[in-house]
Amino acid sequence: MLEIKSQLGKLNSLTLSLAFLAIIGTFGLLAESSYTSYFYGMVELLILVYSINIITGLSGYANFGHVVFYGLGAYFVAIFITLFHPLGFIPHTFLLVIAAGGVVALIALLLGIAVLRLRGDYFAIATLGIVGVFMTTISNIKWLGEGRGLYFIGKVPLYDIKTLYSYLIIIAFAVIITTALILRARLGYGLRAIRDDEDVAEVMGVNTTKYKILAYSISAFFAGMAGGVMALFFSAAYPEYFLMGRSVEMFAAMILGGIGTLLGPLIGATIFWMIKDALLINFPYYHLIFFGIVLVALILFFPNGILGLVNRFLSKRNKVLR
Amino acid sequence: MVIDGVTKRFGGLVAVNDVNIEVKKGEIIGLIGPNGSGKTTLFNVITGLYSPDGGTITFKGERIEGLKPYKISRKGIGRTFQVVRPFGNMSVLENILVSGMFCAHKDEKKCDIEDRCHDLLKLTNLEDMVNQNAEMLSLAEKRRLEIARALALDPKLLLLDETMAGLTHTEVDEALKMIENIKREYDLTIMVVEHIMRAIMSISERIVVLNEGKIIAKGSPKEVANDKNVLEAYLGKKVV
Repeated sequence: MLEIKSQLGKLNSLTLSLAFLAIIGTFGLLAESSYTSYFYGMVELLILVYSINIITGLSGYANFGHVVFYGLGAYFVAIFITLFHPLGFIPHTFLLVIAAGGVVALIALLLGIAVLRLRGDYFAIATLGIVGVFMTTISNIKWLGEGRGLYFIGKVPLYDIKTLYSYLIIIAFAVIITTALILRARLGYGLRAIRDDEDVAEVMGVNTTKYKILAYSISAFFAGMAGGVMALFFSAAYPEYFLMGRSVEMFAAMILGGIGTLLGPLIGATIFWMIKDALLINFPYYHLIFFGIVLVALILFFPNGILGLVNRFLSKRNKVLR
Repeated sequence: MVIDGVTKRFGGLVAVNDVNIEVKKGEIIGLIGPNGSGKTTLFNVITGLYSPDGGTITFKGERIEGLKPYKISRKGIGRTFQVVRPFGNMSVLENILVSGMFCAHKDEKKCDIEDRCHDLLKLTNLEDMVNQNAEMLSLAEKRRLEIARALALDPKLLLLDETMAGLTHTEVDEALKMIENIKREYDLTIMVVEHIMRAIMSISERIVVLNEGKIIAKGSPKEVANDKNVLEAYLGKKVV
């Protein structure tokens, strides 16, 4: 914590990202609701990209199933409200969102113990399986509304978008600070060592299994919270929250920004959102085709993401942003 | 450290066959043998990357065979790799910090660890490239980095796996000097695998020769160099 405090006065990745978030935060809260919803989507993506960055970016374990934690967070909120509303027990909804994160982190811990024994590509394939299992199971349980989803309209106060936006901003601040802390702690060093060479990391004293599971769980915590807010937004949880497309989005935005860094997810999420939105408005039918081309081009020419490109210029002045 | 009857099989191949070695505290022991004789496999068994199919390894009075690698390294065994494997995307300092952090005593602060790592960089002559990416170093520098990284574990026993392979003549001389320095300064026991005979003969007090997983000779460098079995293993039998 002390180290983080000492960093706050200077111009670095941490202060840059916190300042940027503060700016879009206040702007989104003060502007018209239509602008707020634009930033709402951006900040939500930002949280998801930061959270997947903790496991995939730092340890190099490709997690295509990250969307599961997002969906489970939403379902936790919906189930909790459905169960406890008849009893008249509804806590403050932000507490509910935090609880969603906690429960999802616990689920991830158990999943991680099973799945993180697998290495590299095998893990990636297993995460694909996890998405299928959860989505199919949930959309076949009658009590959870099957494919229609679980609604709780009217059971909690209906929120305007600005309240929920402020929830997201708080979560986004938390995930950025957490990432900064992790990068400076043993956990961060251990994970980066795992990404470079897992066997060597183990021989150098890193308890690789423990750190991988820890990172998986922390990343699930934030994704779960984002999912919880999403459920409040629609007053419902749908099986569609588990769609793979969202996972791919997080993945692409993370690579676009620069994986395993503090500033990368911010740049990636922001630019990804802007490109996606602009293409969707200008080419409503063909936007995915153009988007694919843009992504392929970016990854071909900037394999280290936009941050890698920026660093190529900064390194001439002996500076590097992480 | 006592290695007693260690055996490691890969399918039908016996890579290490009933090997007994007693490593005395404070000595430099050389391990030689033709390619594929099981030297690196033995190192992998000692450090826990492979668990042995038989036999025991005792280190400081504790059985360590079959333990997870991170537990073994925290007990005080550091190693380098034959094919250099630095953490490529991390800086030189960060490479060393990893092992420094994970084997630090509970009450050691981060700045103390960093100081300790800087000392190691000075010792291994890498202080000018503290912030360079490890991938960018030359081979000799990478090998020195591996030694520094192993030393950051604060080991009692250091396993050096061909740290001099591919180095030039002068670099080998420097490396030899450095290893003797390190041994004195850190009060280490060292086990060396090496193919450069000049190096291993001059540095080790005792040499063990492996061939096809079995020990074929033990003794002082001179004894080993004149041993009939050793000559046969390296050069083949005399025909006439």
